[in-house]
Amino acid sequence: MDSEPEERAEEREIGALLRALDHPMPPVSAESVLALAGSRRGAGPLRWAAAILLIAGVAGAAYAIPGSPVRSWVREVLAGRPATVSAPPAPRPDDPGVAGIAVRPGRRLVILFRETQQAASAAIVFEDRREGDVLVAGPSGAATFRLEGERLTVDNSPTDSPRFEVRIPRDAPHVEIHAGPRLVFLKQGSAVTTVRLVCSNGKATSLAREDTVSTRVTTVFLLAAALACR
Amino acid sequence: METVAGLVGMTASFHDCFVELFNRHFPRLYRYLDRLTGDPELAADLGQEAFVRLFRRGSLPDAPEAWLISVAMNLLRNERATRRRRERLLTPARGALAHADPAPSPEATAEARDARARVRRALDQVPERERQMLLLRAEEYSYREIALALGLHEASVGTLLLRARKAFRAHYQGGSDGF
Repeated sequence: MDSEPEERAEEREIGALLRALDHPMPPVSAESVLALAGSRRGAGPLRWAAAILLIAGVAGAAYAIPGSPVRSWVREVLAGRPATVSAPPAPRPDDPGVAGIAVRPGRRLVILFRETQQAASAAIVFEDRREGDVLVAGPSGAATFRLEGERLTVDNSPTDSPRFEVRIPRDAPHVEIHAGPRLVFLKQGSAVTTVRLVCSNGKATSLAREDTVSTRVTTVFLLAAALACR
Repeated sequence: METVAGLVGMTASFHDCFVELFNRHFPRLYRYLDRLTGDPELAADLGQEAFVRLFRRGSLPDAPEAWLISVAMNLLRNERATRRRRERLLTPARGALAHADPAPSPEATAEARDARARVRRALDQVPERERQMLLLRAEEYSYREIALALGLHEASVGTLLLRARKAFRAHYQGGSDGF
């Protein structure tokens, strides 16, 4: 036994006081930690990913500076007018010819693209809307959407090469995106990990974040990762 | 559809052990880190990262609970150092970079806020090692686990804990009428 009964009583008393410091338990599950860990497996040799992250970080910092030319360039790209890349513009949910769905993220939202499409892409954009909906959109006819509980299934065709866009409010607590059987994106609070983004040029961009602690700059990395696919 | 275990090539037994350990241990590791840092977001990240590292280790250590605490504490030390460097580097753009919103805090009553502040003040005045011990003990870690996690002799844990409780109580009572 570690301590005497009176000591235990005192420990309980102090324990009760310490509860005043507690915050709600975060929505972290064993499966999502395993998915995160699994996404890193094999990422060790991908030193180039670290270089991409570094470049993305610098680009993000440049973007953050008011009046920066990077900021206006990013706006142009997000608006669907990429000047230096050949990928088609991203669909916007409010554009004609675009079909999509708006879903309350709740405590947890799993978005499942049923088919993996080598020449398709999903651009993930964070938005500052508080308590907003997650928007998933693609070209009309490219997919149908089905919401069941916390799971949104995107029935996309394996033969097409559409470009989807997923807009996520920054305060959405937990959003996972799967492409077929693979977890490709995980957002838990402000911690974000992208595992594999399949780009419209047919190449795969892999970014495994090695340092989940540095959450405060993660969305910059993710934004850059999404842009890298454009 | 493949399971996560299948995707990452784990054996079923390690997967089961890992999940069981996570379900049993993550909540108290998180609470310990949350109380220690006062930053729930950081606590969640540290706890999660400690488990990721346990997975990457590929096998369970002899004392997994103590191992996880030890790893989380190392991560915390690294994070504090990194944060200091980052704050120096990003000072000019700090406002614009604050894009990852912390979880909105619930509407706390004035009474709860006062209670929290009082406990926090008392805790912050307890020396760091004693503070860690106090918080670990509050999560019902054994003397052995505390000793392993903090690199102490098990035989000295009882005495140090007594000192920690005494210090906390003195600082807490110093801030008001009593316990």
